[in-house]
Amino acid sequence: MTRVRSLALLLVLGSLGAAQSPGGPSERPAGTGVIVHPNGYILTAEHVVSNARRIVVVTPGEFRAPAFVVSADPDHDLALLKIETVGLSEAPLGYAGAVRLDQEVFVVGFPFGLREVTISRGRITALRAKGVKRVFQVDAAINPGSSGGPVFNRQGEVVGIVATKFRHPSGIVPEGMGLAVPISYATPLLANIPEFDFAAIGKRPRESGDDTEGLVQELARTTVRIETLRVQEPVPTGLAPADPGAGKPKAEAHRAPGSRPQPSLSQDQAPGGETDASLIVHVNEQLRAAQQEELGRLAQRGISPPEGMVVVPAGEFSMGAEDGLPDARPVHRTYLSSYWIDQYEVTNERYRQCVEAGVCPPPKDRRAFDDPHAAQHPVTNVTWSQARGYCQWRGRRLPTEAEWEKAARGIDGRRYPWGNSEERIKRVAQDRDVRTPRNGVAPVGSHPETVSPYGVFDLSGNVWEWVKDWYAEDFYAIAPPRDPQGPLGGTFRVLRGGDWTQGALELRASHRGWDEMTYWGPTLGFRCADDVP
Amino acid sequence: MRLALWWIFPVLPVLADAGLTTSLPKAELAPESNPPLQTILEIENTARLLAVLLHSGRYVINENQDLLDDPEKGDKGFSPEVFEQQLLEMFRIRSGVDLRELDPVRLPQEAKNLLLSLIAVSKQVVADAQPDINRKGVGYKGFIPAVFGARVASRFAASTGIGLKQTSLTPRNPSNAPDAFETAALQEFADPAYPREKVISEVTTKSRALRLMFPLYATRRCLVCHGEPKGEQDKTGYPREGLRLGQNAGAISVVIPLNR
Repeated sequence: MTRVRSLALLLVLGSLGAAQSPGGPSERPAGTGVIVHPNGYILTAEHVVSNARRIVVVTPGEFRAPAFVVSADPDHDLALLKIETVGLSEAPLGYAGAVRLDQEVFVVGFPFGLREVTISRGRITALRAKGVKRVFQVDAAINPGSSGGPVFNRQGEVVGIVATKFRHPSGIVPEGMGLAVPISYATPLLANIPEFDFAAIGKRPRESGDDTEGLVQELARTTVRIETLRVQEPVPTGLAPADPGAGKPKAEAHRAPGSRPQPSLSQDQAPGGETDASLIVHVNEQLRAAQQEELGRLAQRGISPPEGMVVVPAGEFSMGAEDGLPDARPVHRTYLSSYWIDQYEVTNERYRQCVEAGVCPPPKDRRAFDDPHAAQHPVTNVTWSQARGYCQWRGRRLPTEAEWEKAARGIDGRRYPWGNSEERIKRVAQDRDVRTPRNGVAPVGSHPETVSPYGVFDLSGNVWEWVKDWYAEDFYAIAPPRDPQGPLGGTFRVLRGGDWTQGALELRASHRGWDEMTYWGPTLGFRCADDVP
Repeated sequence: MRLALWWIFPVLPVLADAGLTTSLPKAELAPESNPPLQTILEIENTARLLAVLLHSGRYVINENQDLLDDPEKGDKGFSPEVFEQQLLEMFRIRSGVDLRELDPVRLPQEAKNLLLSLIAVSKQVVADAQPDINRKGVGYKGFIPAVFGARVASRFAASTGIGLKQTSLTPRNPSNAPDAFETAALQEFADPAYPREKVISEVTTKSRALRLMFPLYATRRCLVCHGEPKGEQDKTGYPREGLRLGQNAGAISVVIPLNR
């Protein structure tokens, strides 16, 4: 009887949805949630509420309450919602670390958006980790509407939240298999609840009798249904955007995560040949004026530039690129304090002074280093530690990745130190046979046409340059906005700038190279930087 | 297996009393013999560190490849002790764990024992290779990271029961071919959108073992043999794979049985 009523209701909802124009204002069943605090806090899966314009929580007493997202963690597929309702009873939380393989669990949810709560019993059959996600696999029947619902242990404590987003590595989700995020990953979200009692987690006394009825009632009482009104996904029209410049980054943003973008190199004159060039000239003039001003201010304080260095004045610049490799995304504003940077890469002659002083170990391969004709060539075949050692010996340091990038491209987000044109790369490539034994490595400052807006030479091209930072693929997404120093640790160190054997992509001022810090090679060098006092 | 032991139990929340005439069947005894999640996380961390240590050993061999392949030199000075020092340093950089300290922090005793035993096995492999390494007049002696890794893995398995394997979707050595779990993980790693250096692991009631895949990436040094031009023979006589810098270049697979 009741079942029939639910079905009828579902049909009504379904026909309503069909009759309305896309984006019509009615909530659809989206998933399940669990009450974790009597003041109206509800835990669910992030994908249940992502992109929702409106969220409605239907409490066990069939009360419909509008909800808002307090905090969300898409990485672990968890979200914390809040409703303004009284008289809610919360589910006790368990200690996920105590969950055992093969242990019995109960999954509570509203499968297929039905109004009837369903409790399925199952066992933990596996534990999986992939990327940043970690899940329990449960052999209970879990359907789409159960998403975000609680997984209880035998004590009636929540030990997990149902997630269906996790793809099984085999790509197949077997019948009767569900996945749940361990409740411990919800800790940062729960910290948003004022005076949440973390000490109570996992402390519920073990039920003495076999009061399963009581347990079932209790599980049902703390579980809620969630309905959402979704933001309409934009329908791809197949039409090319009118403005290729504006359309491109957008198209990139919607790209499926699996496909690596192929930066379109033919678009390099996109901002428009002549206007672009005159704009670059204009910005360069501004940057040089700012640099002169900074030098003037420093002179007043009695500070003159250290030998061979130029000043990059404090301020914001545009870091990263949307149309390069994923690790250079997103474009973000970064503020850097004033700093000095070497005008040229460190030469063999300079590095020899450090070796002769008994401080620096010679390059790992001495052929170029010992060539008397290569004194003014950048020193190569040095590891990251050797590069750092030399800069320290000179009372300087390696530049940070951000400092390198600002010195190379100024503040306007240009592609190369000289602007956006690839013509100069082609010219250099034709100019000399880059496949010579020197791999296109030339004496420092040999290509004055590639100078950066601050007057720094060979940033793009000649040799790759070690910088201070560890490499992390996702660092641009989480970098602090002021004077970023890179990740705290890592396996690889960042290399910037590319050499002339590289393509136009690697030579971009936004391109992030990296390698083992103990690596060395014929096209790996460095320059130093220092703080302006 | 108890896989079929699930059932659905509908309840009406509004009419809870009416809907609860059935009671749940008595639960079977909780499987206390299985390790809890907390312990499994520790085992997973041990597996990851073993993979990092094997990878560090491969790396040290790679670092010294020019020396090892020098036909002019007799005694290369690449003793097991020299190797060990470089290995420990590389492992410290990679993992943040310094095994030279008497009491490496935060590690369970079991993990320490396994790491030390993997170091001992690695040293033994380098010790046994000394006659080859120090032979004069021969350049390439066949002692390369992959060969080192395979020898270490088989000895380590014999002494500890823990499986270590270097695998890839296109293995040069057929015995390194991936199984189903490894293939699925390697396909994930091959996706450039997959986060760098994040492992894939699983423990199931069927396998009763922790399985872990640790991804490896092509560095400039790897490309000497595995890079472009694709198909052209490298010094070992195998065709180059045409890998590009930073591309996933396979993985280290670790299997730790739960009831060792």
